[in-house]
Amino acid sequence: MKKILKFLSTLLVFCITISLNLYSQNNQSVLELEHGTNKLNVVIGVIVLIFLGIALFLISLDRKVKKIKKDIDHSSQN
Amino acid sequence: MVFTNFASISNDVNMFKDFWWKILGVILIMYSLIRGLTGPVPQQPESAYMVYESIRNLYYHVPMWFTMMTAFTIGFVYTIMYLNKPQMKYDSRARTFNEIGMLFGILGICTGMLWAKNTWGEYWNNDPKQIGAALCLASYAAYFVLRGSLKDEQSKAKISGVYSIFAFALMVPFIYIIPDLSKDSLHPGAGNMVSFSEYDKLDGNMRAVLYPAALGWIIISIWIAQIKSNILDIKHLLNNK
Repeated sequence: MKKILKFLSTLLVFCITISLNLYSQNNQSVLELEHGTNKLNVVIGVIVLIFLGIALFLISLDRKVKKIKKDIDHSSQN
Repeated sequence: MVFTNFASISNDVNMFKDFWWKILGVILIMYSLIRGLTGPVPQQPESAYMVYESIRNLYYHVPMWFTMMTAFTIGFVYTIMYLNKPQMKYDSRARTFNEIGMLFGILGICTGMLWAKNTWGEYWNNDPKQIGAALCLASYAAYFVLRGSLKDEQSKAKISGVYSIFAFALMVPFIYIIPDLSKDSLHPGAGNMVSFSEYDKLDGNMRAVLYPAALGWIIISIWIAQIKSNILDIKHLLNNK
C-alpha cells in the first residue's frame, strides 16, 4: 500500500511539473517546436502524458508478472 | 525518484536486464508522437486525394501494419520451432505472438477505416489493400477458432501450428502482392497513386519519423508479448503442480 502511494505521488509530481512547464510559457514551448500553436502544444502534452502513463503501467505490470513467475518457479523447485 | 520506486518493488537486479530496449521503444514512440504532430509534412503532395495534414496519420497507421507483420513472422518462427521440437514453451510463444499480431492488425484496420472515412469518403471502399488486410485477419481469426475447438494440448499445438503456416503464407500475397497488382487502388504506391517515396523525395522528413515510430511500436509489441507469455507460463506452472 505504501509502495502504491509512493508511486502515485511521484506520478503526480511528474504531471504537475510537466503541466506547469507547458502553461508557464506564452509563445515558446519547452521543446522548441517549429510548427504548432499554444493549443497544439497542450494537445501534444496531453497525448505524451497519456502514453507515458500507459508505459509506466506496462512497466509495473511487467515487474509484477516476472515476480510471480519467479516465486512459482522457486516454490516448485523446493 | 521514479526508478527507485520500481526498484523497491523487487530487489532482484535481473528485473532490469531488458529494461534498456523497452525504454528505447517508449522514447521512440514519444518522439514520433511529438515530431509527428509538429514536424514538417509536404503541403501539396501530387495527385493527393485531399490528404493535407492528415498525412500525419502515416506515422501511426503504417507502424501498426509493420508491427503486425513482425509479430506474425515471430509467431511463424516459433511455430516452426515447435513443429521441429515439440516443447510447449514454443507453442505458447507462437500463440502469444499471433495474438499480438491480431491485436495490431485490428488496430491497423480500424485506424485505416477512420482515416478512409475522412479522406476517401467511406469507411470501407473495397480498396484491394483493405480487402487484403481483412482477409489476412480473417485467416488468423480462423487459427484461433481452430485452437479453441481442440481439447488436447498436443493436438491443439500441432494442428493449429500447421494451419498457421498456411495463414502466414497467405498473409504475404494478401497484403503485399495482390494490392500492388491491381489497377484501381486508393492506397499510395499501388495502381495509379503516387508512391510514398515520391511524397517524401525532397528531404526525407517523413521517413525520419516513420521508421523510428515503426521500430518503437515493434519493441512495444514484443514487450506486451513477453508479459502475456509470462502469464501463460504461470498458468501452465499452476496447472502442472
